[in-house]
Amino acid sequence: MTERNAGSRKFRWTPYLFVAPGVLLLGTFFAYPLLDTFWLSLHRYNIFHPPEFIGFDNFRRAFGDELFWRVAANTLLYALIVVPSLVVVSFFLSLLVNHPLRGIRFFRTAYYIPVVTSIVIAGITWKWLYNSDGLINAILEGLGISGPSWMADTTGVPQLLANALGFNFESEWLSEPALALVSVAMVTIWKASPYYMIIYLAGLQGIPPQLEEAARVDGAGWWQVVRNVIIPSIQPYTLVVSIIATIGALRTFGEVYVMTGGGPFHRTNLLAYYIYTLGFRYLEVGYAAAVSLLLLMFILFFAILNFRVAGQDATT
Amino acid sequence: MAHFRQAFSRAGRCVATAGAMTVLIGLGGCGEQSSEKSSEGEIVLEFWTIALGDAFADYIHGMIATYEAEHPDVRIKWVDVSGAEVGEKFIAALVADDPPDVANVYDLPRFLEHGVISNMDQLVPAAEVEKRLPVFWRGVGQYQGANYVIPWYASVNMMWYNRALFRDAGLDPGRPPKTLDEMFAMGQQIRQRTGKYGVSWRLHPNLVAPPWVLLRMEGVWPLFDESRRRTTINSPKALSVFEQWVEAYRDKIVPPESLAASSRDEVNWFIEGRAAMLPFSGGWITRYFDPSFEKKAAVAPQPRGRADVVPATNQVLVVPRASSHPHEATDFALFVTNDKNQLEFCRRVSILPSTKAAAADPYFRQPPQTLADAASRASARDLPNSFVIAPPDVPGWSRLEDILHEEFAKALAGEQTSQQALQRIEDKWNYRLRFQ
Repeated sequence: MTERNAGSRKFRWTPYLFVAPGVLLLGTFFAYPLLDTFWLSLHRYNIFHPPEFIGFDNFRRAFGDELFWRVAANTLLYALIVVPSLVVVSFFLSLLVNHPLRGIRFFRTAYYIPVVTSIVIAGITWKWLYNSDGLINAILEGLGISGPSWMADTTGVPQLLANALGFNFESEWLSEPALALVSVAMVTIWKASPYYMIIYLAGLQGIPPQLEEAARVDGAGWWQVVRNVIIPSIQPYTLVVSIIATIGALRTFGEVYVMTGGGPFHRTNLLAYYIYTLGFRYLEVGYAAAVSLLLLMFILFFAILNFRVAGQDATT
Repeated sequence: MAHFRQAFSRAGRCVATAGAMTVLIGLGGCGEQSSEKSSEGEIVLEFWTIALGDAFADYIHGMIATYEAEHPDVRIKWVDVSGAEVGEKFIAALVADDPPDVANVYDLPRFLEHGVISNMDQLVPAAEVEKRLPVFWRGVGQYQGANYVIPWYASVNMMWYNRALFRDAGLDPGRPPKTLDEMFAMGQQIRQRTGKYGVSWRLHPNLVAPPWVLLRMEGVWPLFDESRRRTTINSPKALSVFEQWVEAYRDKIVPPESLAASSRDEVNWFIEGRAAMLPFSGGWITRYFDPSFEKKAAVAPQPRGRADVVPATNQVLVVPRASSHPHEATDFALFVTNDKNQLEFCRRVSILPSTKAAAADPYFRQPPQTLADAASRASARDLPNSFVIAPPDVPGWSRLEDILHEEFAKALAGEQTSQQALQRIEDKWNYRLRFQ
């Protein structure tokens, strides 16, 4: 016992050596850039001239910047469309590929292709589909429906739905989200859902089969099994999916860059693209850093919200 | 730049800024090694080109070998950069204080405004200036009275059109439009008779026909008064230009996607057969034509607006002020852009030279053998009527241009009238010019 105590007082390097690479990586690629972003956000800095300390002026400027709020609203709307859709679509996709059918591995792989497809290729392909004379509208035309200009139409989707249902009135309340924004969101959903499908699949395969069998013996149908057995069992996975999907949606960049350039008139402009514009086009690096930190705040807020809402049961 | 050097450690600043901006959006990068001097006293100049790597490597290597043979104390390090990332790479290299010595870059206003590029009026001898065509020397690199670039290859805009769609619309493929008014009238007929779009055009990013170039073609120029503190854009002439394009958008003469497009979309729409006419520059786009489309495509001079002038694009070389060897770099840039080298380049691809002797070469009057040749000849014929697409040299032009795009786009989409758009542009521009 005495020997062990003497040994424990001796400084041990081994744990620190194991931790060091991770700390070094996080420090270099996360902590240092984050601190530097904060430092930049307190300065007026256009890259080519020395930074000028301006305190919190960049943050004050953001709060008074009409375009920032418009883009922030677009980003939140985008997340509101994308995250629930991803949770639902990827969950049902995982149910689909969880059956031990012949060739199911092929389908699992095939479904995963969008994830590994470059966003540039995906974006260009979707643009072809979305063109006003593209495949989607050709199919709609075959059904006797005149398709919209998916990428350029700024009419609100609720307004379009109201009109389609025969309600011929217009309202500001029905003007968001714009069809163009929803069209871009669809690409994110298409591209990301197989990734989350794999997470859900891992969750589904961890559910003991006896639970499902017991429910069926008790007379539960398919939907009752899904609702009362599967969904509660995979709640930790739903938490993971919703957090990662929220973070991903709030920092969407590629889709906007490749497909719309933020147009028409900023209706598809999202915060990450706005930051890029501020930093690289306008060279307002200090302001771009401040907006980056505000985006980080949004992300943290929604991540915590996810923990609180979806994670209450999941973490217990 | 000197105090900048003092304020920042080089590599640290590069990692910091690039890292800071990439932490959330996953972008960025640092420049590569730049000018250096080897132990034997040899000067190494870093030379950036845009997307010439595959097709023109032998031309560039040949040019470099000749220069190095003539200048044994200089070694050229050639770096070919993709067009999409050259601006960001150039910024990163400047931030790292490790810029190239000679670079082909575009979207210059942001660099001119911050004084990071060498003044060529000071570095280039008068005899060399005299060899360059004035339209290009006083073109894209003009900022507040001085020229900051050495003009390289150029292209005068022209009109590409689809003869098959012309025929289908009942138009004579041998008689393309000569004026913009005719272009819209024919576009209307094409739309009505074939269901295809008449004109392939996009709002932004547009390197050959952005809204302010459309205005200039119709004589709405300059856009600012002499003090550069007030705009003169809100005029009846500008209103008529806006209304003409709004009408064209409403009548679907231009594709609806033109408001939410990205790089080169308008070229793709033309090649895909979605649109019949493409006001554009450069015979290089024939590289993307398949043989069946090449049979349908034809080229003609750019239809004229009321000012009877044609936009021209010009690739330029710049020498960053942070280069350690500005004189050697300028000498190399003058070599790259001399008559002989430009003419040889023009023989390989459908472009125009920016020097007087090369532009006067009989090569540009020879009968065309290919469609690309025909484009080159059309481009050369319009050189005397051309103006270089050089944005107004007012501070903060990138922001002002985005305001123009936004308000014009709202007018095109029918969210406001053309008059409202012009009024808002005037108000916003004057406000920004007053406070920046």
